[in-house]
Amino acid sequence: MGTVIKNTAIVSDNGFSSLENSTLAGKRCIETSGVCPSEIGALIYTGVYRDDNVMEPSIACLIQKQLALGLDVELSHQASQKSDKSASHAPVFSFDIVNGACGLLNAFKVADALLKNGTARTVLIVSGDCHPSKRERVDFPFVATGGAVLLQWDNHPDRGFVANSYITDPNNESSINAFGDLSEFGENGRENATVLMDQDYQEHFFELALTHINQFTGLNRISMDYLLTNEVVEGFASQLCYASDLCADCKPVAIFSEFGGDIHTSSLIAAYESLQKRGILEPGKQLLFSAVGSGNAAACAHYVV
Amino acid sequence: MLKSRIESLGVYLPERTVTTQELVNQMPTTPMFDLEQLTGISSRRWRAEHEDCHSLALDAIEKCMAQSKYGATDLDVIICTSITRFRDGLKYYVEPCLSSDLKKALGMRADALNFDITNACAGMFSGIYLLNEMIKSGAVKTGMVVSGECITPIAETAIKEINNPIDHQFASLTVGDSGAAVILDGTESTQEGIELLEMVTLSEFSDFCFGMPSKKNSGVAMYTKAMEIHSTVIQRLPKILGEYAERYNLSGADFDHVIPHQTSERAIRTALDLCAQTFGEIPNICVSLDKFGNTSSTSHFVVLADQLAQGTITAGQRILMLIMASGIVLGMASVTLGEHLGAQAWEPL
Repeated sequence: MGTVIKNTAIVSDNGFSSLENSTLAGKRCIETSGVCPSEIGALIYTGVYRDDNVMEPSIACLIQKQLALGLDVELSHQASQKSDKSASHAPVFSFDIVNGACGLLNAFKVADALLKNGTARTVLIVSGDCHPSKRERVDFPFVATGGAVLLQWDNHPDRGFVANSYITDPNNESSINAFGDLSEFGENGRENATVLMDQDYQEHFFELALTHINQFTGLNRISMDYLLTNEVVEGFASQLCYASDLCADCKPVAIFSEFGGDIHTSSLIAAYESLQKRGILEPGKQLLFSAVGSGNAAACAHYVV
Repeated sequence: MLKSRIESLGVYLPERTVTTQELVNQMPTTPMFDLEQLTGISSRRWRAEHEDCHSLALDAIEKCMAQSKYGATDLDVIICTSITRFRDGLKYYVEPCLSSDLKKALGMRADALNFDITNACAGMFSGIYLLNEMIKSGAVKTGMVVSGECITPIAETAIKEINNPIDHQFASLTVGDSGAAVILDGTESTQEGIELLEMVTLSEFSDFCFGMPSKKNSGVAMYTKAMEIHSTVIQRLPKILGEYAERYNLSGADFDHVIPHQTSERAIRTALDLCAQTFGEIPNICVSLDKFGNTSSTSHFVVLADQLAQGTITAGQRILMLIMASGIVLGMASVTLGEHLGAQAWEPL
């Protein structure tokens, strides 16, 4: 038994707002899931880059409002009668988890605790990374995409997330440093971000991800059917898959060319969705989710369909 | 039944004190009202030039670890909940996350988890909420929640930019800098622990407060619809507390102290008077905002450390903590402190 993926959604070619892309992904994910919005008890945003460099409130609560979830407490019978019937007043707790490309898998781990404890019946996780200016910028290394995934608890003995792992590289500084220098940007602080990537960042991420996958699969000794990973460069998934100790039958899920680049925190959702659309996620399939990113950090999660 | 408890607490406040009058004296136009009287805030601590979110967090971590039975390699997770994320002056970092460098600086295991949470002034309690859930589910055994809050830059912007009597930046003049860290672990004891922790986001009101870079100057600003937030909270907090009271069979009389989020003295007392109708009165309201201002995400823990140092709060006492933040996030926690916390020597802040 464990946390299962109920539904996913990916939004691309929808402009350059993290908030709008992740909100639209959340909307589509809920609408096609068969899950009643009132079942959603928590909403987590895992995007790294924020429209207008907003520091407060959480982006999650802004998305929560756009999705008409947990808008208010029921103040009176008259108020509930007048309210939008499609809106849900069931209580929702929302917040942002921030950890580069690994944030989504951190959110899965946190959601697993909420679902296992019965604190939430359904958790919506959303992602999205666009330049804070909400405009297309050639110097921004990520492709504007929004993602959403609904998670629930399943009592079936052989389904869901069964193991997870995380490591950080103690020997190197972070290969990506991204910040807004408000002293430098002056009154244009909302529209700017500096994203610095080390010359060797692809190699550093590859080495860390490879080490971690081998450690994780060495411990778990399961033959994986698919490797789902964020792709910092084209071919990253297949190079990682074939260089690793993953069995020869394990197939990498490539997403880089489909989106025209690195879609950062939405990557794993997109990889899962591509398998879903191909109709090959039969019960019992073993998926290895792997993420690697700034910190530097790497995370893995073993999922049984 | 396993629940989590506060195993250790560390709070750091910068040395420099800045009074409300000093801030008002810097404003091009004197406010029409007495800011100190309105808010109850006489002074706040202000970061030194070399201090930022990272250093404030590390200073709090040092104090927390000194009180703890755990070493850095015992911790399974570190969660950083700073709102402003400033390092090296006014560089607002989005990658890597702040907990990444704190984990390295602390010397935690490579396989220990780290991530940041952004949830306005409810950040630290959001971190505690999630760590509490992970301890109860068995995902982790022990972890740290830390916040280094370098927030007075919003006051610097407000001083420059406030130009009318109902300016949305007035609330920025109430804040003070701080760092706080707690270590949680699990306990089966009935004598101590976090007995309950509930949090909810009322998203209809998510646009009542924004913290973001200023459009007029270099720096960060906070724009707060203070009247709307106050009226929204006082209309709903009594109902929400009443529901929790019923769910957990609790009333104000079950608590020795209440620590509300430290916004303004008037707002706190108004809200608690109304809550007395559904929840009952609580013997002692703990406030330290007169000295330290609103320290945002660390506020409850700054008050807790201050009250422990004064001897007002002691081990074995049950504390109600009221959570109120932009989002709007509302919540409550019931915390009983263990004997080990009461036995420590708490330095005045």
